[in-house]
Amino acid sequence: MTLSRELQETLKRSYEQAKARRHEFITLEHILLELTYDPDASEVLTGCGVDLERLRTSLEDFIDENMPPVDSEYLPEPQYSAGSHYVLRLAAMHAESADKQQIDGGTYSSQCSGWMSLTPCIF
Amino acid sequence: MTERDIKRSDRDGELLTEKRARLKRPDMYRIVLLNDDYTPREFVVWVLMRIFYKGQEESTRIMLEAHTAGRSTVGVYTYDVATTKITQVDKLAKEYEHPLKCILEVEGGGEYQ
Repeated sequence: MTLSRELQETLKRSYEQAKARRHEFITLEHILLELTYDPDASEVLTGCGVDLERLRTSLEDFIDENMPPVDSEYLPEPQYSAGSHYVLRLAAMHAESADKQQIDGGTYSSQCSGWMSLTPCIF
Repeated sequence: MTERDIKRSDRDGELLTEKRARLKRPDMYRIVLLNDDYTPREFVVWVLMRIFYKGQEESTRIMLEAHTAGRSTVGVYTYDVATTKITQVDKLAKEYEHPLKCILEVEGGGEYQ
């Protein structure tokens, strides 16, 4: 099972975002924010009636309010959070059962609710 | 219209209501450090500094509070961040063979917009 080229780019942008904000984790919020720019994911999200611009603003606000930058001289490389790993596993299972060879942004975004539903999300 | 007809029309009819989604801010979660009689104080302080990026003084304060009161709040985080940090604490505690334990408690969210 591999990741689509677009999803790899999206995950890379999430990592860069987390690093630029001095965050220690690449959380689902970071990934979801970048998924709104991913061609496959944005198609799925728009198809579900999501207003991408509003989702971006909500996520930006949420990240700024609730994830302060790490206040330390030593900052390790951002790591994927427990939620990001969990959703990736869900996406892999979903792709497997749909007989797909690749996990793309659409599959990843559709599985986000599997974790997000634990915390009533803002979208 | 008889009473029976009214009841039937109630059953058959469909009430049209405008659906309005209510949005809620996600809950925040408190990580609470629990006291135990076996984990060395130095290890607890080291974990607080390493995983929670607390300063030496604050880490010592949190450790002493847990020691005397049985529990102490380490911080308030989003669900994803909190669970990841707890996993990291469990992993370190297991690696160094200490029974150190942190738990999650809901801090409470709020209405959104």
